[in-house]
Amino acid sequence: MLIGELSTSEVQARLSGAGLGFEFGVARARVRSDVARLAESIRTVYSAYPLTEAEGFFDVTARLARPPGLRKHFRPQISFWLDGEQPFEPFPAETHLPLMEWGLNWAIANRFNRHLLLHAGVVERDGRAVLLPALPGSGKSTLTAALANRGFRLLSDEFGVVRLADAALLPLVRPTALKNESIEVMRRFAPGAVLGPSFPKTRKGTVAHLAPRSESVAKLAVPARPALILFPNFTRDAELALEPIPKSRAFLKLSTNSFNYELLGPEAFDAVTKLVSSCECYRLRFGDLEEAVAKIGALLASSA
Amino acid sequence: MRWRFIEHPDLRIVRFGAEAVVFNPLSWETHLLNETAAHIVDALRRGLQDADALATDLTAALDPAGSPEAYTAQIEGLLEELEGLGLVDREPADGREPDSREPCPRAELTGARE
Repeated sequence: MLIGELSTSEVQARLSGAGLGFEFGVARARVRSDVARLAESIRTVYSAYPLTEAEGFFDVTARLARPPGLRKHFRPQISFWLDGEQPFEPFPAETHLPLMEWGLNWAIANRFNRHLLLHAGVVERDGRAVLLPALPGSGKSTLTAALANRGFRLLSDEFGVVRLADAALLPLVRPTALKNESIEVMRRFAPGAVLGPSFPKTRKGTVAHLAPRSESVAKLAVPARPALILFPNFTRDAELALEPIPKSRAFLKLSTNSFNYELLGPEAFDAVTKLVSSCECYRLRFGDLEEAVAKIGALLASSA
Repeated sequence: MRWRFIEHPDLRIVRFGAEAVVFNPLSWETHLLNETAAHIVDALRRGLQDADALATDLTAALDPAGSPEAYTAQIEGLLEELEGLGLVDREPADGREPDSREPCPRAELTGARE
């Protein structure tokens, strides 16, 4: 059974009770909440996800709740609780889904050290993965979402999860948080894609979440072999430019673009060595999504 | 002055073409070695130990028409940078173990770290 097959009130009942379990691939989360309308948003963007019983081990157990006191009535807020602690300040109550998504990402980034975590999008076609490491504002999420809506399987739009033993890329499939102009760009690019509600005036402007396609969610347990590393950089109206990067430089960029490279030390070094050795590495500047997607497809095919 | 590379079980050095990447087990930092630094580290690990010998080796490999003397000062500076990172140390003339030195984990190889 899929989450989308539940009614909104059934999702709400699970959130209010034992919690709603989420299977992201290499990580699992359980969320409890009694915040109004969160269930409806979850049902939209997690529609294709398998319904997971809220039992057993979860990497993240979180709760979204309204703080007590007068703030319940005056500019109400909601807090994100992680194992009984509040890691950051409350959000306005109407931004429930952005808070949940941000909180889950924060928990994964800070706690998930079984694997090397890179700040990167990952997509795959024919078993061969494209890693898109980049800092916020580079167009990484938009480009990853575009690829995932043009025949690539989404593994992650935020975390490049690298298995330490063999540098395989593991799925951590989460909704893609699109921001500001990217929301309309993606509506035009993929009219059939499922977008959750828009949340204006968040800390990052307007945010909307793009639901992963069911084909990607159906392969949560299937890793991919790394083939290409592209460091993307969106530049408005720029002509597409693809520039090879020496593997040594790509190595340094990856090591500084990781959530836990320094924590894992020599194990992380070995994993990045395997990753870089098995991939062609490029810097990609793009101004047009269709052009970038076509180029990446051709590059992946020619590198086989 | 004789120099030696400090081997360590967690040390990692991987060559990518002319350059190399090093995991420094003392600082847990990763350094990029440019072509010259990578060659010097290779030579030290092969057993060459003084700046003159390293200069001769480097010249033969990278600049056959050049003069080793022209590289000696550059190599000495580079060795001091590697020493600051805790990757090499000076071998005393009488063969005793050198004094332990605190590495300088934030030091960087000139032009070699992004």
